[in-house]
Amino acid sequence: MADVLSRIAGPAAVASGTSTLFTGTAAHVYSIKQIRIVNTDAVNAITIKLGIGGVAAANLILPTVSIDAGGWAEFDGLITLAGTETLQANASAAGLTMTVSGLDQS
Amino acid sequence: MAWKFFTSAGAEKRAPSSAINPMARATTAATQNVTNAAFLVLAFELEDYDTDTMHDLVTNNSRMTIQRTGTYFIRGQVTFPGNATGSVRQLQILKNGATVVQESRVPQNATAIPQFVTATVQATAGDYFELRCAQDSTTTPLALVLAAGFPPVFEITKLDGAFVNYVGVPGSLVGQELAYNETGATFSSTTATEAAPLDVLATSSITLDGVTPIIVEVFMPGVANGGAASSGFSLWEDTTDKGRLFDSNGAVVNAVHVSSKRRFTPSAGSHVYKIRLWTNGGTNMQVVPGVGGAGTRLPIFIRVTRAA
Repeated sequence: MADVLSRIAGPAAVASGTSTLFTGTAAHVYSIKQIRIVNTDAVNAITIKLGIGGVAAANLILPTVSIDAGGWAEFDGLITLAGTETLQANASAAGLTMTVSGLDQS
Repeated sequence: MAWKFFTSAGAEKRAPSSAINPMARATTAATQNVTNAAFLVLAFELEDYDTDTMHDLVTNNSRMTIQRTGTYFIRGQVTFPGNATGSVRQLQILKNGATVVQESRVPQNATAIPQFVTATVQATAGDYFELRCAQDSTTTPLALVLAAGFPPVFEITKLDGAFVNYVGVPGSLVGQELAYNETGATFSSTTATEAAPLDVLATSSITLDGVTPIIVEVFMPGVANGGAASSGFSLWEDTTDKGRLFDSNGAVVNAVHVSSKRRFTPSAGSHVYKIRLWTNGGTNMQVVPGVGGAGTRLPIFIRVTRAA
């Protein structure tokens, strides 16, 4: 088994609407340690919600929150993804950039 | 584990500590003469603290003005000088200059004894509270005691939190209704112009932060234009025309229902949103709603919700 501390996803733009930010690889386990979401729009706040395998209420790891124009949000903790699970987002507009870091175990 | 949110300046957005919960304490060192059988609204030219601009030392310095809607604990204290004549000494908390929220009454006493009144109230931004007192000793005036520990004191403390949450408008969530008003009354005019229109319906005042977008939604059943001239309805923000909700340049004989929405980000501060009626050609423009129910038109409404 290999343990690789890496930038699991991003920095990548989050599309307006629902999008998949990351799809895991079969037989891997991902321990997400940090997520950073930056609002590159200097004028408008943008809302986002995050979920595993979807953005319905039952999937959410972050409910709809607003990120200030030019501001950012940070998560420091532990969320795991297994195999081909996906990390998905729903953003109210384009302009957010997300970076996900953690441990990729295979 | 935690999510943290930051402004563009790098400041972390979080609930302020209780040290900056809205609260204020005002006192006075000025002579306060209470005329026999007449209420005196107390003036407070001094402050011990005021964390939310609720008190002004000069202008209307009798008032504690609410900046954030919520639940407040209010306390007042006065000390009448010792005087054994008459029957009562009254101390009241007054709301908006008219409503007695709470009153304490104590009998006259030859010894000066502090008197207190307290109340827990739910108040809306813009409400104000004052302290007033009265005596019936027949002595005019009785000057309230100002000695250390006994001068008039007026305090107010917000009980349900001070924070502006991470996402803008105090205490609100995305999609939350910030204001709503409705009416079944009829409105018409042949003279109101687009520059000086007729008020149809207004929201209460909403305090906004300058970065949170809102949606203003309007519904008007029974709109009709009796003539051929340009007439219509517009949405106003305070004294600013935000644009036409409906207009017509020809007669609209058969009443129509108007439903309109507008999303925008207001400037920081308090705002009132209005539907206003106008007719530029002197012909009749009107809206004839109802109160709802079988066979009856629904009311006009204006609604403001948080968009993001």
